[in-house]
Amino acid sequence: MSLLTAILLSLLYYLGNSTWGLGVGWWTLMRPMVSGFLAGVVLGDPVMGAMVGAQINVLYLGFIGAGGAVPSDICLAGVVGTTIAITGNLSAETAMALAVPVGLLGTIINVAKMTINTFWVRIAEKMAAKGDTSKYYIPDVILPQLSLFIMSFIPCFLIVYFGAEYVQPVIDFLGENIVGALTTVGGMLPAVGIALTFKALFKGESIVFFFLGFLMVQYFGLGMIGLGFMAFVITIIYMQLKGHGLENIKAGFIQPEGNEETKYVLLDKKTIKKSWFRWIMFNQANYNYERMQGTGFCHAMLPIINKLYPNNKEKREELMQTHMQFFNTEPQWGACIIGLTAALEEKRAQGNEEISEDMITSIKSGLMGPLAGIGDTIDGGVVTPLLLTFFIGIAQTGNIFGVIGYVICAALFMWTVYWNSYKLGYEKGSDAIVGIMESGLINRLILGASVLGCLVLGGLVGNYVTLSLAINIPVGGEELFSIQEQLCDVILPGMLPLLLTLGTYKLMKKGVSAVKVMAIIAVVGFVGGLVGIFA
Amino acid sequence: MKNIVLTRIDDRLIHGQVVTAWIKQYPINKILIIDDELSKNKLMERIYKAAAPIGIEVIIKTLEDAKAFLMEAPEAGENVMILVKVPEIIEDLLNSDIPIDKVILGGMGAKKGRKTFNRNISASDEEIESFRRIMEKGTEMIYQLVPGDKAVNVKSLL
Repeated sequence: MSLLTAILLSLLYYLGNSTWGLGVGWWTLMRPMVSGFLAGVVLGDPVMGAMVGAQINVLYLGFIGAGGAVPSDICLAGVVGTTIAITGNLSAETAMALAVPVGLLGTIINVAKMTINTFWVRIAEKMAAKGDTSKYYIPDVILPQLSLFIMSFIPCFLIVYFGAEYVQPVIDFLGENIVGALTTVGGMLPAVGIALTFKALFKGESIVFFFLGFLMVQYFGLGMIGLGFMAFVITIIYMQLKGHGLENIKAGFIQPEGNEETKYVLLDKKTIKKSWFRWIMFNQANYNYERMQGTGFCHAMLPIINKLYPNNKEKREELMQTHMQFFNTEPQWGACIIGLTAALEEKRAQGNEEISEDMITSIKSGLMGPLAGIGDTIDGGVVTPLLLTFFIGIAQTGNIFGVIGYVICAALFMWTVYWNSYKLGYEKGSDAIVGIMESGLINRLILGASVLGCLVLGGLVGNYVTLSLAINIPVGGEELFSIQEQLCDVILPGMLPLLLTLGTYKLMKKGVSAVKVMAIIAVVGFVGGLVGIFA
Repeated sequence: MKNIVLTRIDDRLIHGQVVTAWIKQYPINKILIIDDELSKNKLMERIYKAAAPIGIEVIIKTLEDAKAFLMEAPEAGENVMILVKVPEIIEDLLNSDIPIDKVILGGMGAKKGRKTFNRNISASDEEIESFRRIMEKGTEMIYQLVPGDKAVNVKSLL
């Protein structure tokens, strides 16, 4: 591998973890389908990159990472897995089996990042104590991103630059049988990703749609796009039958009323947009164990603070210190908290004495948890898995539209939530936020998305989880009875992948951790593949 | 005595880790938040109730009311998760002979008087003493963000 290629790949990995993804990097650049595709672009084979990345991404469909609990470094798995596949000329399944441990190792980087970032809080504190709003980006963005760059670029560079050339010899050394067994494991592992999503997504009543999606693909041979349209119509019919028609949902979202004339008094639209943009860009730029998004919150408040108190250094000091306290929420849905805080600070600056610092702090800390619960459920738990499932199904066929379509849809959805949430908080206030939470709209959205998600996820099982029996029973003379072709496939094609997925789900429901389940599958698949039970 | 399936110290109370992970892992249908301040705050009560997924009832009680509630006979199929912000509440429940075998330490945010204890857990000296006393009573304390994470015994962190 050339030095330049290795540098570009490592840069790609850093970007996936960084703050530069315009607020949606976490949903796009970081996902293996996207990072794998981009790694493919660097390595000169975008189609293969998209296919391998998509395969690896199935394992991480239901990746949430709530509150800094990151179960796997999925970006590293995507970049390294794809690189191994393309340079070592391996199948997507084999690459996936090798990418999993890389992803697990990568979690160390996240822990190190969140620990080291605590140091930058100290510098931010000093700036807050001086009321210095102009250089706050140094401790909130420059320093943490510099340390993240070092922590992510170097390990990735070492792996791809020095590791890639050994892939081919190691594979040759292992021989066909072992590589074949690894492929079996790689074909089985997506069951874990699907089962995990199952756990996050499926409310009792939507489970049946998983089977419907599965059957539609297995018996009717529907492609992903066909299944997507069918699933959409079925979801609308179901929601209408439940009395949750589209009109009702739309009407509910416009309902909140506020009194606009009291807004945009001291603040103007430009300042609000500036604050919003800083929030989407930098909310997790200095994510750390001590304050979580605390410094990011303050960074987003700076345009507001500057506008309200341009000549009052004491006030700036006070507000900077207040707003860099511990804060953690789901960035998209929680954006309304920044908007609301901006509105409250504006009123306070107008001389409203009913609003105290304590009151603002308690509203912030009261809302951040519940909104994180809602946001993690919708964004990480239903919408992203739904979009990924659908577009992975397209990318699998070597169609790069699968990747591009995903990025566009995910980014548009997240930006829409970011902006509308912020605006709702600023313009309509806390009653409107609570009103929307209580209206039941959110639960309807979750139900609709999980029905849709179940349908497409069911379709993915037969395509992505691969497992078949290689046992043939002699039935007189030269004739062989193939259990797979003459029994399983006759009754229900894709039966074994389905059973494997359901079995994995049961195990996890019983409390066996995903890592343990993966280890069990790795052992069973490897041994089964080696002795020739599985093909 | 109510059927307590999970007890967690987490000052964000109901949030992503609780909603997307813990209540999926256990058959929880009732979340009891014990906090004297919150029980008086109608707005926050509405917010927490609205943040819970379908099928989960949220109740917010003062420490005294919570004790009485937990002593009551369980309803059929009722599985309670206890959420508190600080360890002292747990200690108080144990002192009132409410049996809690295991406490999960999930999150305590940094604020004045607290120092970093472990990763996202900040605690004051008094709170750390409270951890000690809870464990001396035979209750197991573990640090664990989500069920998939490795559980770390709090004893090993002291």
